[in-house]
Amino acid sequence: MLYTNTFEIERDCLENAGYASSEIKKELKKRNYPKGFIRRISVASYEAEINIVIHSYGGFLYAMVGEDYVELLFKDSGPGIENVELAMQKGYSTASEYARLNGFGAGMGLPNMKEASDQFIVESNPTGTKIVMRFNVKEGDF
Amino acid sequence: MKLKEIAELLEIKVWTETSYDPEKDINFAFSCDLMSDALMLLRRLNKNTKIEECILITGLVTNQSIRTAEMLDIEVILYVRDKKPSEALIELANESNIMLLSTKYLMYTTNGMLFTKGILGATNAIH
Repeated sequence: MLYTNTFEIERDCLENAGYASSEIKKELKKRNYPKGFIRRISVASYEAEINIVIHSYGGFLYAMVGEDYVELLFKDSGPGIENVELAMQKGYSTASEYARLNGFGAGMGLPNMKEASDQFIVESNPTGTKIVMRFNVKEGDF
Repeated sequence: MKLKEIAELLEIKVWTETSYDPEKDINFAFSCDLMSDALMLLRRLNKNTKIEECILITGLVTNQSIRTAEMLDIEVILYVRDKKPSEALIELANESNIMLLSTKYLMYTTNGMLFTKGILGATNAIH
């Protein structure tokens, strides 16, 4: 493992939303990973971070960076996604007015994360949601 | 098109003087107020789009416009409708190496003026 870090993500704090993803992006840039690879990770991480801010009671991001892969684990403390299957549908959103006024809530977060990552796992119940994303360096990333 | 030409055309105000690069090439643009839509750009780019030559045009003057640009590797944000970024926003833009500009024109007019000068949409995708 080349780098690991944990970030706390506060609920409703759109002011700081994106900080964790920005830090990870800087770390990956420093290590000269391919641009496309870094961009995929940044966008997916940012989407997940925003989701925790606007939908959950708060949570954490655990980031693990390896030689040719990155794994991100997002964990929050509820209230969970009521219907994961629906949430995976493009355009489906339960975002609040507050989130929409801040430019979010198009219902593309989870589908975007799934497409950007190489492995995507989402588990959710009322005590919390866990999202695991793995990114492998691929030919198209260069 | 050079950024300085866009600046002249749209009577732009520059908010990040230190990072402003008038010689920067801009050939593509994406306009939206919904940052979720901008993030979809990642997998909707036209084949020939160079993201580093892309400008993000928006009326959303919050840190999220800067974070979104940062994640996508977009280096220039143009605020429309004479929106003014706060000091905190300018600071965040400087930290993230993002150039912040603003114009008095509405988004529709801004888009039209750039389009007639040959600036292409970063994506043609509808969904």
